[in-house]
Amino acid sequence: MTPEEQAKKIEEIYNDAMQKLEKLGGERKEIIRSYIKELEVQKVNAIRASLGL
Amino acid sequence: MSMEEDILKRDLSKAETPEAIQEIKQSAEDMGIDIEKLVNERLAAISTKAEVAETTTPGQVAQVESMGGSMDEIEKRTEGVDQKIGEVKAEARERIEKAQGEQSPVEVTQQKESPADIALKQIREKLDADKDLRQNKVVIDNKLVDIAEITANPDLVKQIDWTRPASLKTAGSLLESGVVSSKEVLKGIAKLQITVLEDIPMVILKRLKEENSLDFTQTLESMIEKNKSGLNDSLLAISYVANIVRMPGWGAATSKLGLKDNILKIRDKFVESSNKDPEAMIRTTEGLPALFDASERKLVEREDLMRWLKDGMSSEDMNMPTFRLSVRKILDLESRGKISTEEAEDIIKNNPNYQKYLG
Repeated sequence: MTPEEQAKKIEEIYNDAMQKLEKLGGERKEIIRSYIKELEVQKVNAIRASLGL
Repeated sequence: MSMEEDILKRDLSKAETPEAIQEIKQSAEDMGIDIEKLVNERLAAISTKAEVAETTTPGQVAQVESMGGSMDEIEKRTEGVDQKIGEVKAEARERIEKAQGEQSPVEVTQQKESPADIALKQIREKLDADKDLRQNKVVIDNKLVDIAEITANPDLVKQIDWTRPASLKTAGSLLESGVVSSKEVLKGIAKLQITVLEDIPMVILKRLKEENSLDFTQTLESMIEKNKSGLNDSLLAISYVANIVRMPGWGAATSKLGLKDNILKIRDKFVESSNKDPEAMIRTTEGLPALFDASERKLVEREDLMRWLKDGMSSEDMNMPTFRLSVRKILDLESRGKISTEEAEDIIKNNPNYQKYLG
């Protein structure tokens, strides 16, 4: 394998990995975001209940 | 010298902006191929990307905690994704190293005199000759200077403005590559205000932990000193250290780092501040979940915490809006099982402000 071919192959692996990591990072953020939303709803309900609303 | 090198050299001498330098640098790299350097760079970038992808920022943790959630639940929910991130990283490393292994010794020898090296050297010389600090800072902040260049030019490291969070992100890569020492990073951290503490990348914290070189008391106390409200900072410090302790695999390291001793010192500072200003303690509602969390982890005695709450809520100086806010917070803690109904009633009903509140 020539250095050019090697470099090309490494770049392909790299781009593929970075793309996957970007996607997974986004998924993780979304999981946390949705958890925070759940908590917000719970909190609002708790406050409403405590105020007798 | 080849025609390509001639063209590169000519372009380089005309390049005025960081963007133009980067473009030429890219062209030079395309012409000559240093596989080892390429592998190291790509692996480091993948590692950093994975690190970022699997990190729960202290900001997110604080947001979750302020809503009454827990880090354990975050970990539980993100476990699957974190595992996939680890797999992608490991697989990429394996594939890249395999591809690297297919290089012949003859090709390695040929790379040593590549046009890329020549062009990069010229770029370094250009940067060396540039005495304008601002321009160099722009170059660093725009990440147009890569790790190899900074390694070759230590003066650029000295010009990093550590007080900027963006520079700390660069510092994460520099630290990982061994270009800057933990001491330099610590100096940078000490210059920061507590509000940007969250911006310190986990890669830095992990390295500091591995080297056992972060003095939490000193670092956190210096931040506490910088802020006008020592009480708020104490709460943030407890929350921050509690977050670190809860990071996967860090629990066992806490005794080695003396975190508990350090947190106790911070707690003492907290007690001192709260005694002086009990109302402020209650007003800082964001700190309560962190404190209860810290108490569950035996970093703060629960009895102390309950006493602070009770005393604070009974303060004669407390105004009604603050009292109402505190009541809500106590009820919120009760609804999440952090305190019992009896304890909540004890704090709320058995204090002089309650009658004023009803009246």
